[in-house]
Amino acid sequence: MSALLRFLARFALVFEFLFLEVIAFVLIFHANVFQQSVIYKANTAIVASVYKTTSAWSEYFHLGIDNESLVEENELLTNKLAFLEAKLAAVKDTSFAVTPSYRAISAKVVYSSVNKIQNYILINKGKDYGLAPDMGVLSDRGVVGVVESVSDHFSVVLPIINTKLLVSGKLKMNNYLGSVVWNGLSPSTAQLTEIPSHVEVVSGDSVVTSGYSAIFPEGILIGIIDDVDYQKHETFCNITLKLATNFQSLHYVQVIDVNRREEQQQIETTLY
Amino acid sequence: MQDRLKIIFNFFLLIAVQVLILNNIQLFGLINPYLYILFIITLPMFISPALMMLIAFVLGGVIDVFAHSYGIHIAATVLIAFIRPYIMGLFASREDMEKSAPTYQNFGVSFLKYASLLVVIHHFMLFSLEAFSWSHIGMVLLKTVCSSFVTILLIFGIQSINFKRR
Repeated sequence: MSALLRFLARFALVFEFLFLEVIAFVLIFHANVFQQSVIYKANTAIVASVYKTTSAWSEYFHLGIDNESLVEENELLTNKLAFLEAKLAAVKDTSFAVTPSYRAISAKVVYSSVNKIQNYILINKGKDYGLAPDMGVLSDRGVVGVVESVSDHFSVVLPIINTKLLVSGKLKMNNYLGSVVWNGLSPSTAQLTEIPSHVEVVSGDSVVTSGYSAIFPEGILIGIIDDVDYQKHETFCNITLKLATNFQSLHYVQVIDVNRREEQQQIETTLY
Repeated sequence: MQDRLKIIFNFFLLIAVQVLILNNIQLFGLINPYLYILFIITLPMFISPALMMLIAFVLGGVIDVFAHSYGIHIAATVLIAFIRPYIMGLFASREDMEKSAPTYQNFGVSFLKYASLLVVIHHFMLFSLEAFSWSHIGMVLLKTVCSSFVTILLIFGIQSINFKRR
């Protein structure tokens, strides 16, 4: 017994080291489980309130840029409105009950990272505004990502620039479906995969959301094709696209709640 | 007592600098300095290795919480706290080891070697765990080299300012 104790005392430091490392690795391996846990949500709230204070100060430094992009968006929306009003006038006689197919909730980014391989964005709205996991997130320029988890007042968003996220997109020109993934390198580009080699892909074409899942409405811009690499004897071609959203200066986003999202997702799970 | 207060103050100061300033630095997607480990590197000698690892665990945990990473800072920081005495043995002389704390003032040039090696080990461990696959190994090495360089520069800068002030 005393020999055992002496042995333990001698290696106490090594044991302590291994014990602490084991805890760290358990956290790393269970990251996904951990994120949904209560501790994580409480955590998110505390961290978010710190970032909220600091972002309130730093907000003033990028007011100019934000203003510019809002003006641009305003212009775009006004044009759209005019177009739709004209259209509406034309169909007014045949009275359909028109319901919008989704609801947009605007939110402010309180934390975001672009320099990691697993990047995250934290926004300042949560369950209190009806946000839920698997809702799509857009910026004024295009797709940002998908809500991963929500706490009472904040939500964690998985952006396209996280190697874990896969967004289905299609070529605007010929409607071929592929998946947009990220290779962990530049926060301004992503890769479009699963496009067969025989398809004609032109650089400059847009890649937009497919609208097949209940996350994003159809036709939202993901990015513009930058470079196409056809390789002989390969089934698929390598496509690089320039992302529409500028993740380095992302301050405001819109969360999209597609109507009947839960119902559609429930049916989708039974299909696989 | 004053020593202990100073240590506690440094702990919070380094966390604040890391979380509020350095975590927002992203040059070329390659440079993320992690200056907070300066706390472990310069922790005074009177703190036992066992306690040092616990401090490293808490420090890594706080940084993890703010960076939305899970355990990677804990793993890397506890590792350097564990190997710190061995690395110090490599570079510092017996006289150096009897001084109050491993700083540039006490150790001289051997501090620079000792700190640099710890920074590189920490950053390599951190970026490998962050990538979590061998397919990103080139990227991990590149990030380790670039970020370590900046972290080491910052550490040298801070240490030389302290040196002059005294």
